[in-house]
Amino acid sequence: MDWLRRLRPRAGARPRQPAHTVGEEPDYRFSLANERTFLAWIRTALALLAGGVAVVQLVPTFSIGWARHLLGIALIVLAIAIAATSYARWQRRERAIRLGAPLPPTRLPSLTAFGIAAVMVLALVFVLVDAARGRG
Amino acid sequence: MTSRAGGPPPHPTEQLDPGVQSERTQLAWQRTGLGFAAIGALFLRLAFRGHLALAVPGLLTLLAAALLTARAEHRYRATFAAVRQGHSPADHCAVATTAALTAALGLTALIVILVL
Repeated sequence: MDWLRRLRPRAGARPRQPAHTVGEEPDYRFSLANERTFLAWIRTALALLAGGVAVVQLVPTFSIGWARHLLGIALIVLAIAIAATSYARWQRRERAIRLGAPLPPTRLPSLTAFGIAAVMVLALVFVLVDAARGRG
Repeated sequence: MTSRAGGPPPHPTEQLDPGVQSERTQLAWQRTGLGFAAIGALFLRLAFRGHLALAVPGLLTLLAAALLTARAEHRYRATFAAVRQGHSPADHCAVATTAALTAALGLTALIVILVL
């Protein structure tokens, strides 16, 4: 799992102890909550992934030929970004919980929201283009 | 919880805390397993429609889904044991494996939509 650890943005900033030895044993409920948050992100990634495959394989083609692929690739790239950073995010939070420190800030919720909004706007545009061409 | 003579120990029914965190975590693992099963089924559906190569990732994903769902129960018991001994129930291996599986699944899906 070394490659996952290397994805952690600030990994090289200073030498660190492994996350499970720093600080003190936390309240188990905090660890479980952190784990559920991680699992919720994993399920978000799985849902985006299924959406990405489905939009290419199941949705009838738009009049713009590459439209489905654009939507599918955007969804799946978002899913991969979430999945590939999820372990590092979980570990940073576990470390913060053990140290009693504030939770590290994360840009992922806003990035995910913007990504999904962008996909939706694109889908709307493609549908409208189809409708306009159908009438014209 | 205490009778270990013969067969697996019974499912712990004692409530550790009023927020039933262990139960919610178990259910979260089960839902994640179901999510994997859905992706596996999607791959298998494509495999039956002529892309036979997809049967391999489809079956592997279903296997991962079964393992994750089974893990939910194991995790529940491990949480009980850890809490009784005053240890943290954090499980790095399971988290890292799940994250890696999901990332690998994402790459597979990307290949699927680019190639097929």
